[in-house]
Amino acid sequence: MTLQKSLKYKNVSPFAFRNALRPGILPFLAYLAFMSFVCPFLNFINLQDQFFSIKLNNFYIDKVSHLNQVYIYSIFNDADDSAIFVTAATLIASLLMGICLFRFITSKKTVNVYYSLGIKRTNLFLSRYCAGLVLLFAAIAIPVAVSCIINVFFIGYTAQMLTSALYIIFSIFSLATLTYSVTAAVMAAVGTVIEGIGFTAMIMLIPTGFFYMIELMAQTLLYGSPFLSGYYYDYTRNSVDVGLVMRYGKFNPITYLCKIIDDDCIGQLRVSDIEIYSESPLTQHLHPETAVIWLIIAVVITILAIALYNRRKAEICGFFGTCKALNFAASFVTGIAAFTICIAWIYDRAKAASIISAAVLIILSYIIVNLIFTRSFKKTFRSIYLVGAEYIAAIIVFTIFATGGFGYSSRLPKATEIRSASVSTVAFETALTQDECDAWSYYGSEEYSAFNHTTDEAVLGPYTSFDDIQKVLNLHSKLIRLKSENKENLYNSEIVIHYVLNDGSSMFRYYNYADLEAFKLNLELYETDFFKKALYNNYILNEVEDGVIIDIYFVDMLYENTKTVAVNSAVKTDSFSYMDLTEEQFTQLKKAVVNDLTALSSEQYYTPEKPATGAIVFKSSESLKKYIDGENQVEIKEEELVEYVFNPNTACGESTVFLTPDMVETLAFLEQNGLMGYFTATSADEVESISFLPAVLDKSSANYSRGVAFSLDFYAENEITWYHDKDVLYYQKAHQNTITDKDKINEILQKAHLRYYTGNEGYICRIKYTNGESVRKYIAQEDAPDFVRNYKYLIAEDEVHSGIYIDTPIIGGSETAEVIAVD
Amino acid sequence: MIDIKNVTKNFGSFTAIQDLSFHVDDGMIYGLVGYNGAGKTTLLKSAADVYRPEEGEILIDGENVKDNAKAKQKIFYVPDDLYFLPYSNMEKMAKFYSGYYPHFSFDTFRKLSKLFGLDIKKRLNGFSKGMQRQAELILALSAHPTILLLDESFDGLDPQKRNVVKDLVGEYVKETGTSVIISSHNLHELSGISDRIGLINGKRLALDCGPGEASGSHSKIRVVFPLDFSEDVLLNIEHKKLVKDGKIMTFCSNEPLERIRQKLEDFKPLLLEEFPLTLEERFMEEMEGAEYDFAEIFKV
Repeated sequence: MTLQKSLKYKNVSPFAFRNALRPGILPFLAYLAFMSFVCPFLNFINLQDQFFSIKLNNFYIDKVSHLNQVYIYSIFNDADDSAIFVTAATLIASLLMGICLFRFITSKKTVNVYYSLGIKRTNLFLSRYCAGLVLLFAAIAIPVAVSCIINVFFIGYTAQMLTSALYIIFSIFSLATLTYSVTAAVMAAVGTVIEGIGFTAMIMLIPTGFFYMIELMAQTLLYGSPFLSGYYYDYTRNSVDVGLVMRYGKFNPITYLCKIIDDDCIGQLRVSDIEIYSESPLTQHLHPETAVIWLIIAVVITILAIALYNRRKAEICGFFGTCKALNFAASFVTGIAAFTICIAWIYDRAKAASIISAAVLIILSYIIVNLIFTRSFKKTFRSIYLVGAEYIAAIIVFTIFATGGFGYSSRLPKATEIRSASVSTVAFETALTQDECDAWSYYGSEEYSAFNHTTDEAVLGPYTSFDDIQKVLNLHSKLIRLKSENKENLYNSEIVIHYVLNDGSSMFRYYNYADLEAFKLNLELYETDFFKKALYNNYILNEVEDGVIIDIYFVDMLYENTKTVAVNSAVKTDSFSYMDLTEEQFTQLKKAVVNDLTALSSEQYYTPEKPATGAIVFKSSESLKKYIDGENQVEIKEEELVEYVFNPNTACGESTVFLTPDMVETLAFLEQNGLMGYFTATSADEVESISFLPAVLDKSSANYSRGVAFSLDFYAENEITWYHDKDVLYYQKAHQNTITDKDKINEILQKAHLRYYTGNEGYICRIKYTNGESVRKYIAQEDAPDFVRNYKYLIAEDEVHSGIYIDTPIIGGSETAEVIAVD
Repeated sequence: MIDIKNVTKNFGSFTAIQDLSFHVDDGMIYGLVGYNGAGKTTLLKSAADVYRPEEGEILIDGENVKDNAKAKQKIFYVPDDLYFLPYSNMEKMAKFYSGYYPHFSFDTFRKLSKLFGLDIKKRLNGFSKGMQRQAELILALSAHPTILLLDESFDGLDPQKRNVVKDLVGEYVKETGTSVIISSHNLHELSGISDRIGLINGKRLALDCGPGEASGSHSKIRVVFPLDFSEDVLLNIEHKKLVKDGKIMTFCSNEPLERIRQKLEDFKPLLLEEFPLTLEERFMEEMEGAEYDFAEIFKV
């Protein structure tokens, strides 16, 4: 051996890069496997199914031959689901990749070796960073490339498919790079892997958390919040979520990839689409700027990570809570989250208590979080002054929202500024179908309750005429005034008003309570051009777009298959008989119905003077087996069709027409065609007794979903059997005011409505027939005879229902003013 | 050549080593001793650029080691706490180090492995602690560094292997002119191999000398008195490590023998003689402050 003083320097970065590939293998393989399943595998299955279906239908064969000319491509099987899963997998895989490649800096043993090696720290960091990126890129690019090959096999090669594939790879890779860079930066700053995972997750979730907190505060403190997660509107077939998280999804690392995959680049191939697609080429919507911006952010974070890594002290490895900045960020985020959640939960019930509790929670969360990091009361209390920053932030946010956003929430646009408006249906049902609804999802409205009579689709619009918009503005104006009036008779409710202004911008307001006057204004929207057109469309017209029938309304669809129309006499509510009509008769009936419905005022429709003698129900029969899809008859299961037609999710409203005396043309049609025999009046002799109770709901009943036996929009039905035990008892006890006198029974039968908007007054009457059946109908307040009106119905206010429902007072009573005891 | 210049390293508010300086020449083996927690490992890690000192600098052949890839490629640091790649064997580790050390010799690696009788294909996590240490030393020497930093590297080796390692390191230094720093709390171990000894005590370098220079101005004095005097007779003499056995007193002092003789003249000592301190005695003398009064601990 000889003295080796003249050792030559060797660039070891390439070796360090190769060496760093090894620890990333596991997350790489897991990510690759997942992406391969979601992308090429499921896509292959989908394409195979679709093309198998196409081959079965000769109608489409010609179209299939030139699919590639309209550049249909399918990178993922299902864009919506894939977007979520791919985002989640990318986030997790990138985080794990970062942890696997940089965990060496959290162990003393490995640091001893790696830091003493003859390589600059920056080069060591970059070589490992690049190794991780290469693995992530490969795990993304390989499955997408395979999916492209599958496309070529089924559809053929198109340049657009290749562009889209590159766009998808780039978009996913930008998220992977971002997450991976954040992880690397966090790992460079902390001493343990647990912190690396926790802080990375925290940083990535901060925008989402921030949006949710703002939205929560707005919904709690603003009467007329401009945000509502889960509420979508869809004028252009591109749904837009007015929740902050999705509205600003492009500014959120958790959601931007979802938006890209959803919005921009997935040509989902379906049999029914082929005809449409083949007419004109698909437009390619590529907006790479979002991914580019996030990639630039990732680069900035990487530069920060390198700086942190170079400044990192080796001695912190293995020690928890060594990064003061991140510790503070964690306590700040926790404090603000605790503050917001506390305000959101308690503020409506006890304002002062909620503010005090929230303030206490901020300091408590600060102490707890800091104790976790420092494990020292002394250190925690020494830095307690930092909690002041949390208080300042909380006070600013609270002040902004508590003052109505400095008047922002009270702004009412002028009618001339509005292009169109949409309003949720509250406390009543509509007679419209899905296509008259501009929204297909509505947060919090799944529950069917007395004051939220909305279904998933029950935001109606667009109202476009000046008069219609004025009516919406009247309602909106009333709601804004409600805040200042500070009335006591407010009811929990969920009212959505949504405008599209002339400049194309959108204005959204969400109100979580209203009074009965506001509900009435809501009902008046029945008398709008929009409603008339919608009713006409619903019963008469099949909407045509570009020469293609895009939907067949359920009324026609049912008739096409059944050639019958169900009728329901006023005697019993759940028993139907079926009218056999000729096609001509059916057309006449539809015309008569729609003419009547469009001629009715909202009072005539919701609060008719005279009760209906029966109802025509467009309802499926057992013989219904097939359903028309374009030119094909598709065999479907009956229960599926019933669900399709009557499920509020698809039908959006009722299919029942009540035959009040105001339905002049319909009644005339029935009489002319000898069909009135279906509607037999009830005789007093068929009735054994009638019991009454006031149709008054407690204002908190909005939360009493599925537990109440009636809603503001009352519908007659057979005696309940499915309600909560307590409710059954409630009815049993409540029906104390019972009559058996035939004259009185006859008087009630003349006045009992099948359907009526109660306005939270009037009486529910339980008609017990001699055959043992019972039906509940409604007596309007002004129609109620003295023996009903003067009866002393008592409310046992202290009674509380068991089960999950909240404090609905029990209504009952007796002539001796005795309080009804339940249980 | 290693130059440690006024190095101070803090861990938060705790100072591990303070203003520490010494020099290790080419071809020199420098033994670093000190009690547990004295800062030996901190110093070695600082020399390997694992830790970054708050003050001072460490030069390798005249170049600051801080983030200096060229300087660091000359260094092989063998830590006390060994690390091997997951599921690796010696062969894989050799490939790993060969990527980072330009002069890594597989020939040396194979010869040394054979000498120690280690299976290079066997997983390292199946090795005993002593075998792992041998493996790491083999890898270190195969890398042909010009700076070798060994932290407690003889720990866990059996006496025979310990001698082999010592001989090997000695031979390697002789052949290559490598500068070596070996840390240990075992003075005997270092005294046989080191060209120079450094003693870290109280965060500072308390002693920096050759093995034969350990005594320095310090010496051990033995006095025999005609009567059984009390210890007070030494009141005006600077001394440490006093041992009294009847009329005989033995102690260490840095005062010249003649001055001590004059100060004790009144007590008419029968015998007054001076001995040089061994390295161990000097070590113990420096560490005197760390002695415990065990009896005091258990006093109720």
